[in-house]
Amino acid sequence: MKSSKPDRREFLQGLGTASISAATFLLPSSLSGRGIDNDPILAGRPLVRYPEKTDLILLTSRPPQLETPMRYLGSVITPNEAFYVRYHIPPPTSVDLNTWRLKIAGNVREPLSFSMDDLRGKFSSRRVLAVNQCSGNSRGRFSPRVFGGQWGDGAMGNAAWTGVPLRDILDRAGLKDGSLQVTFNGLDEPTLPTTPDFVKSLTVDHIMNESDILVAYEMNDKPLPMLNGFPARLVVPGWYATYWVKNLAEITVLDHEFMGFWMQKAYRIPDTPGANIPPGTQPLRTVPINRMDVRSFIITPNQGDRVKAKRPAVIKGMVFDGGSGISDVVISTDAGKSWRSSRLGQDMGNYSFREWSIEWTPPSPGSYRLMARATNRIGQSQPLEPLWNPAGFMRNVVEHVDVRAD
Amino acid sequence: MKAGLTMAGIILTCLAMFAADLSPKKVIKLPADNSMAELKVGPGLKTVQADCGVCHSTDYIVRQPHKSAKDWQAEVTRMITAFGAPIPKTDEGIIAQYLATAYGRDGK
Repeated sequence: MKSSKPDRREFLQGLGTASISAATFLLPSSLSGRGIDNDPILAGRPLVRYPEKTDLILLTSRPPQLETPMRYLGSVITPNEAFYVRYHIPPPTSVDLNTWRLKIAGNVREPLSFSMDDLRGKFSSRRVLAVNQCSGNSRGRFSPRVFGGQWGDGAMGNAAWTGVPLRDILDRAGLKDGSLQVTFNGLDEPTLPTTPDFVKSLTVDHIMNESDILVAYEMNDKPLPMLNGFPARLVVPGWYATYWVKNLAEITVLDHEFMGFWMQKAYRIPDTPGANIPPGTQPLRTVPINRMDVRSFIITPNQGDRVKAKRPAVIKGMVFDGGSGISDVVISTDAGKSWRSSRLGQDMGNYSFREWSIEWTPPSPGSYRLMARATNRIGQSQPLEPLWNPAGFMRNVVEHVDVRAD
Repeated sequence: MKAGLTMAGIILTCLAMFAADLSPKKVIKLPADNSMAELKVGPGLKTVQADCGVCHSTDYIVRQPHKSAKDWQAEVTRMITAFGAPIPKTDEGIIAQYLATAYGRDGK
């Protein structure tokens, strides 16, 4: 049974501007901590505190898009209260576990309905560390710019997800012959009946061959925040977050391809190497976005930091890919002329953030461009020039930080 | 009597708090739209507020890159055809014109 729709009165209140409640939620970004004031895309954005969340960078209020300040991404685990938020349509605001059920229906031998007690009690659980990254993370950096959520780099996070392997749930219901795809529908609902509901699909092949795809009911060993999917969400390790449907309510098995808007029209990438096409052009053919490309970030030092010439300093950051695991992260301190291997931190699993660090001594006073480039275990690396596609997806260019040594 | 009512009030409050901690019901209240993401003044502003505000806050517009009139027209069309935006034919041009002027750039 679905929960109550977002309260109409709350919605109408949400249209009001300059209200007192808005002031309590907005904080000047100069209180933010490092990074935000240096980032041209984030300049002027307020910090806001949404329910169960700490201060996050506001991209949009309604439906909410809240970005994680980069300082949280220096740790392998992103705390639940700092995890970014993204909804296409209004999230649920009320869920009662007494009445919430996860319904399994469609091309199955036995349609089923599970309560939270059922999910916890009737199945073995699995715990996976996995990066959740928005398909459009870093879209604000595209050149030429594209319409869409104008994220900086903070639409991502890493957490330990605990839940039931999806394939065990489907085995319990029993897939009938001809089962091809499975759709996932959450409690979020469009404001208007003419807006397509947010529903995503995965293939049966993908699901049944991946024991780490979970119906997760815990995030970092706690119940999910509402805005990250309470009471349960899909976790698709290695794939972009669009598939990680939140506030799950219905899982439906199909014997045909799902034709919904959010698979057929939205979230499509060019069918080209690296999903890259010449800037300003349109793709000939598209496919649904799928596995993440490899990315690394420099967390320390920050853009514009001052360091001491002839003194050792540490450059560190993190790296992740779509599940093959990281082979190395090489660092340049001379704008790409030469590269040295960094030391990789603990391997927390193929789907997790992994730390890297390297010691460096600036040889003399002056400006230095620091760069980090990762390669994964199947030989995929980051391009030196950014890719481009019309939707602003999958950015993974080699990142740089400019510092000054005195 | 007054002391009795007060004690009853305290007990009820404690029970309510205890029940809230054990309750399996999660309820959140979302804050109001960002009052700082004000749309620029210009012809068509009221139409934009009325037609677009039904589904999303103004920061969806204010945060966008400044694009050409052609790009903005395409975006308004997309809101209607893809997302079912309640924009009457008479308003479509007004909204596209407003966006191209307030959030536009020179060029094609």
